[in-house]
Amino acid sequence: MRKLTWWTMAIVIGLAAGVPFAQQPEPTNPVQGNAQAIDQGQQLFRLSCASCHGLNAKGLRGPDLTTGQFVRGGSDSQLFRTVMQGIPGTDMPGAQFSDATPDQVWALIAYLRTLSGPASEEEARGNAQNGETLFWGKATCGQCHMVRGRGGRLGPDLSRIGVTRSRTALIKEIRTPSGSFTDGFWPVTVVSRDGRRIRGVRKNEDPFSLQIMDTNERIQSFDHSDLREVVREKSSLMPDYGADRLTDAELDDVIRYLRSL
Amino acid sequence: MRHTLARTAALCIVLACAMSIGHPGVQAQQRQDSGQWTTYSGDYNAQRHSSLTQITPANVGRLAVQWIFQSGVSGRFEATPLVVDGIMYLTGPDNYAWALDARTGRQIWRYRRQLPEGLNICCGRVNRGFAINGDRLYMTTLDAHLVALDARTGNVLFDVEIDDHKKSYTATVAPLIVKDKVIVGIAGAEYGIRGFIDAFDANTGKKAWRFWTVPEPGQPGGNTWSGDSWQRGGGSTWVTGAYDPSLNLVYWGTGNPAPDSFGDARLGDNLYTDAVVALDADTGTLRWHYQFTPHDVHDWDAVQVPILADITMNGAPRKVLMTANRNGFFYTLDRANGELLRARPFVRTTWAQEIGRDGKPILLEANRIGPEGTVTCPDVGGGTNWMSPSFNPATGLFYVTTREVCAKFYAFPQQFQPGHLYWGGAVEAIPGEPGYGALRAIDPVSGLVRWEFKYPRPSMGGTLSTASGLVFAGEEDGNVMAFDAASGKNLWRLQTGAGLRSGPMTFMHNGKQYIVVASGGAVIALALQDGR
Ligand code: HEC
Ligand code: HEC
Repeated sequence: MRKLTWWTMAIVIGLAAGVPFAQQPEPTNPVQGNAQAIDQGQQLFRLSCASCHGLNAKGLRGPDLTTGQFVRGGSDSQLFRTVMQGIPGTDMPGAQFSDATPDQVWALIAYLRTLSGPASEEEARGNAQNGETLFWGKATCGQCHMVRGRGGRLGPDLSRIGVTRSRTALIKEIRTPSGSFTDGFWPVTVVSRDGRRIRGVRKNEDPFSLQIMDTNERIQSFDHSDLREVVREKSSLMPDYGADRLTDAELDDVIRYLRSL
Repeated sequence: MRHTLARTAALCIVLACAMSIGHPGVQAQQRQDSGQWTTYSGDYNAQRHSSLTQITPANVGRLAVQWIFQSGVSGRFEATPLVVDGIMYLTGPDNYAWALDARTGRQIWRYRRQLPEGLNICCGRVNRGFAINGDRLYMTTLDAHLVALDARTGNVLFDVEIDDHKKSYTATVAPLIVKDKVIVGIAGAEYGIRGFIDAFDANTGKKAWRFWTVPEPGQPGGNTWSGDSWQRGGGSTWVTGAYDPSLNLVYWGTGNPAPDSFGDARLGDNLYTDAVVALDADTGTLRWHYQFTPHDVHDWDAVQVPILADITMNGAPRKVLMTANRNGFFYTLDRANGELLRARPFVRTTWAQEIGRDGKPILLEANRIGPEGTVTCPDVGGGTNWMSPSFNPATGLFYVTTREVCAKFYAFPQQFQPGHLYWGGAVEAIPGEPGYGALRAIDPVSGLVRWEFKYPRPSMGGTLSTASGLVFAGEEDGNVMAFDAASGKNLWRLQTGAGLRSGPMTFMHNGKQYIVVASGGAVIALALQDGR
């Protein structure tokens, strides 16, 4: 079990040397369907992945991994690369974070495969075109969010959100955005010594300084010592979209639009 | 300059030879006063309190970078470097190790270990540093060996197995030299090892004694484990302990029971996990123990460095052992017999109401976990963790990096399989509640927090205290900082660009006091620019 097969080595060496992945023969999971490996994969998942993907892999800070669809590619070799290397520029860490060996990564993938039945595709609801119209019009989403280079900057870019979040997570984010916040978008109000208040989203902070984007999309940097207070807001800069602002049908449309991107 | 260095080295050999005749360990301890840093925690009492006073609250604002060593190795530093006679000895990820010119940061030699494939390592391919005895360095390895290196060349003098890495034993601890013995701990509880503390002959590498942290049936404490669960009961010992020469006792913290969360697999108190044990340094015989978290289900290892000090409590002088535990309580114990003198939470704790008069926690509902999940504070990382605290006898304060975080804990039944993670549970972060960190100064007499300095993120950096009244600390967002030891006022800081995980240390060389921290893959040496 623990011994590395030649092509696992090849991948690792290939990755290390920056060799284009496609030139390697496409490896498949050597422990696919192996009960012991699946069990080990579950243990590993609970230890290293559940904090972000949730205990049942239905998604917390990280996406739902049970839909059977993977944006980063769902083949064995693509999943292997995602878990081994992580996804640069996102919260998804590489195996260095969990200290997983290649064998353990295969065990994790064997486990992930058991979570998504082949027919687990969610039912298609809503109308993408209506969703697009709502997004850029009445619902004003585009004032704060970019999609493919167009739109506002205060909220996260949503070009890929439809594929990295589960439907349930998206509904929660839109109906009640204040439960938790995306990193880099925590709402703060900075109060200067002379009482001026500046609202924005927190880009970074250490014990001595704070970087924000204010509601006019200006990036500002402060020293804590120059401020009277930094108020950590409980509610998101994004308004709650209750049924009064966005009916269930409209919500389906917006989600369909985001999913179609 | 090469010339001076060579001469220093030559002198070092002469001294080292002279020293190895007597009790080298004690010699090593005495050297601290001469501005060296000769053991993991700076001294046997593990106070991480230096007698050096060149850098003061008045001039610390002029602290400047002297050199930066880029290791070029990926992974994080968790080691405290040693400095003896102008040479710095440092270990890094994957059992790399270096000797550097402490004045310039230039490499003298590098050691690299060939590690076998398929090691089971739960929590980082790290190492916490060397021990030194005369001209020998000792390091534990990820494949659970003890290696002795020649201090001038890095050549291997001996390489002995502590235990079988195929049974998921691994080692990251910095050894402790006591007289003619090298004392080491072990890791691997997440894979269901049976823990121990070992002593080896410093000259030959022969095993001198072993203390099992999980007793077998029939031994004292053996009845605190149901069935055969003791065989894989955990109780790792992965952070260096302290030593009291007058009592000849070694104090060492022990880790979590295995499986971490599914406590039903191991009914009972699970001695001696999550405890501090006091062992006879010559024989390894247990003199007393104090268990902080009986029957732990939260992975709250008690591997925090225990600090020894002589303080006054209720008008009487007491020889105490102090520790801020991962379970969120601060404890002051009598170190001669393990009697509990004080216990008080230093972070938010929801699992126990208080520590009772009998020394046992009075449990709350949030301590119970099952498949449906329970929110408990502190989280799995704990109120503090392995990062070193420090103690200043003049202020009487204990300085520790603390974490204010809660988490949702789950427990599930799990069959033990050798070589597989044996966790029996899971932990979920709480959405929207990332928590925060703080440097806190605790009075060990009352157990009360005297001052704090908040960090936006929970941090894992150690602290250092100096006799001039300074505390140095590092935090997760990259700052190394100096504080006034009495008031907690921040006096100096440097943004290093990577979270600080290991403990800062200090030494004196050629009339200049240095402060050293590791940040990311780099080691940074700081001093006053003009040496004064
Ligand atoms: C610190 C949080 C975090 C941890 C821990 C984490 N992930 Fe992720 N993961 C994420 C995020 C966020 C994404 C989405 C990244 C993106 O595409 O924007 C992600 C994406 C993924 C994807 C790609 C999904 C897709 O649709 O292609 C897989 C597969 C995955 N994670 C598996 C794992 C596994 C297995 C582990 C444990 C070894 C793990 N993750 C641990 C946060 C995390
Ligand atoms: C006034 C500005 C504003 C408007 C209008 C707005 N949002 Fe947001 N949105 C934000 C901000 C800021 C965040 C990040 C903080 C948070 O997570 O709540 C966010 C977060 C999100 C997220 C979560 C992104 C992630 O990375 O997890 C989604 C999804 C989202 N918005 C969708 C929408 C949709 C759909 C609409 C329109 C129906 C909309 N938003 C309207 C400001 C806005």
